Amino acid sequence: MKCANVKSIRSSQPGTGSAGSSWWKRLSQSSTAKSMVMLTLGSALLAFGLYKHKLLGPTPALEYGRQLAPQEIEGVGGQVLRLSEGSWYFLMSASTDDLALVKYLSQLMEGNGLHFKSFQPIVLIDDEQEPLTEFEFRNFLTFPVMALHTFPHNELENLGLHGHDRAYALISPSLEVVFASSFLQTNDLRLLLEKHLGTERQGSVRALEPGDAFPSLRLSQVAGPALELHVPGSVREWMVFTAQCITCSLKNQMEQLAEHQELFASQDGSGEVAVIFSSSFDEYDLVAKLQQLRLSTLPVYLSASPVIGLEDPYLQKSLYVEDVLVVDVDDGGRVVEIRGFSEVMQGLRAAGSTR
Amino acid sequence: MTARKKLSLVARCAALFLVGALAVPADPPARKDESRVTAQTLHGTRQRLSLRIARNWASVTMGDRLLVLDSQSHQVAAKQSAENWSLFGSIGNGPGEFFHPSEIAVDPMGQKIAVYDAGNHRVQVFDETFRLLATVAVQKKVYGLAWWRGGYLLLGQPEEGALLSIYDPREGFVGTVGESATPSEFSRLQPGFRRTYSKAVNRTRIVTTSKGDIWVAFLHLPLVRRYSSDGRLVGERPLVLDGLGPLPSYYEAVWDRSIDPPSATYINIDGVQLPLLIKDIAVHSDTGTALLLLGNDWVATLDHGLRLRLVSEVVGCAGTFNRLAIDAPRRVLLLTSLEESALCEVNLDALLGVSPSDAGSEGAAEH
Repeated sequence: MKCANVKSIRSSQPGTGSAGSSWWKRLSQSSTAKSMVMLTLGSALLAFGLYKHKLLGPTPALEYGRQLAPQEIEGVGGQVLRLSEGSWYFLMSASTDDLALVKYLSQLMEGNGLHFKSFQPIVLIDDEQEPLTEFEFRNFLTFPVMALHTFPHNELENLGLHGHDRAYALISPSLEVVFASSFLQTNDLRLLLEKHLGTERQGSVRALEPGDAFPSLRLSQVAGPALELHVPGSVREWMVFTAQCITCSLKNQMEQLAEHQELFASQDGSGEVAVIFSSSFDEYDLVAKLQQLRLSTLPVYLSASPVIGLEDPYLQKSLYVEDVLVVDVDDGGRVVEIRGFSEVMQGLRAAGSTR
Repeated sequence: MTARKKLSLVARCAALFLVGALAVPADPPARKDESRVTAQTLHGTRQRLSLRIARNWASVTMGDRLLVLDSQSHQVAAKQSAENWSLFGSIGNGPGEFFHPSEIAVDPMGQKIAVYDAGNHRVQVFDETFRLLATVAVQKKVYGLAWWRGGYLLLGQPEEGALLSIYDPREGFVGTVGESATPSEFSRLQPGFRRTYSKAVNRTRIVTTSKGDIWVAFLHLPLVRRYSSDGRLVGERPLVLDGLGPLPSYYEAVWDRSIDPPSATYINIDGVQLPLLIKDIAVHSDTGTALLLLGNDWVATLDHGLRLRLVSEVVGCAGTFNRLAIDAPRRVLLLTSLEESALCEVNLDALLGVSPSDAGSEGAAEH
């Protein structure tokens, strides 16, 4: 390519020739340099020896196409990470921020009958404090959530799990890695299982529209004052935290929720605002975050099931891929308007700044 | 926004204008007019897109086919007719699969498609039937992708040390073109701001002409550059809207919290919605005129001399637009709307019927 203004990286080749030999002559005459060269050579030999004994060298990556060997890695607490042929595995090594993804996985499995197919999640969580068994118990998980630190570091590295980096992999019954990534959203997990395990749901889902009755939900109260849910007009705005990307931005959204609470109270105080979290959220985690942000005056509920019409992944309305939706309802409990949280916040801030 | 903030932003817009004016040959300054009377209104027709789900997407035309890249479903959808879409690819790491793809480009001959497959750190090149031709490994993040003359790919990749990286689809990284830009270059008022925003802006949209000229629009800077086919910078100027003055600075609006959330694409100043960013750019192959989709969903044209003409909002197509593309055979400008999963078609002849020489903006700085 001949371009006057294009910088080519191939133009800079290192120089060789007579200058190189005189440089070596001067170096070899210095005693300090000799010692350094000997030290370097010694280190290289030691590294080579360690590499030959498989104590040092490139560790394998958990990457697409890699063929894994059947194996068992035993943890300190007696839990076993087991890979054997004949079963699909979803291997996940992550932090407590991903517990919502674990719960979503459990719901996907339940909804698609994956417990009865040869599919096994292997979930390793990098946290020394969280009592993971409590998380399992609360969420009726049928698979164990294991603590990463209880497994031998070397054996995890050989499997391709390096340090505390996040890793997600889908492994076929022949133990081939058919998908691997260092990040994964809930929608990605759903698509992966649909593609490889044929879990695609049939039929289309209708989106909630203005004029529809707000769906009937089984709600459990997580925080804040109790509301008379069945009294017409008792709630004006339902703020729904959906499961579209529960791992993405919960902290940021909770901070915005605190701001919303303040702005809403300082402006139009008529009616009430109530918050519904999708069933994919973990109650324990939510309560902790709500306490941190002192959101105790806001009624917060956890839905027992996905909010039909708002958070179904097959909804064609692009608005509904937003993580938080605000649904205005009238006195009769009918939907008046559905907006994205960001739009509502923009409006509240604009109104606040002109006051 | 408080009155103080408005005043501060307007003052900085004025300063930006002065900076632009000093950098370019002296022409009559743009007339300050709060109305949109100088703009021509576009009339479009709206169609529904039958796409299942979309969160981030890019659209481009290939002949009269519209290709929509959907980052969320990890697919490319090709529109064959009003209701007939073909889907290519699926979630995965393998050949022809995608994981959060974010950029798509069609070569000037309409024979090859390049897709930046962000989650898999690669660019995949396909023929028009989506048969995989080549894969290029790309480690640094990419914001902006286009085909260039000689079958090379241009990738917006300031982390490589320049504005654009050049890749050979078979051999990988070849070299670079252009210098990156920083927000601090566009603020002369606040030392704190200049310190904070001294890093290169990494989001660009790139388009090339059949002759090999390169247009680069900076999404978050009111700036468009034009490079010649040998990579020489031939034009650069901050954008000044005809009759409305210079575009407000996105970064300054974020800096003084005039906008929140930072994803806002426009700002209200005295009842007028002004764009804070450039959403997309396309070039009309016959006239060489560039078309810009601005943050407030106005469309503007830029001629070869980087003279800007505001064409204004599109009537008949409600919604927010995300990308624009030119369907050259049908002489139609396509605006795609993510929120509404809709497509707006605008008559290109009517749009370009406004002679660029009539534009009231100043001439471009020639380098």
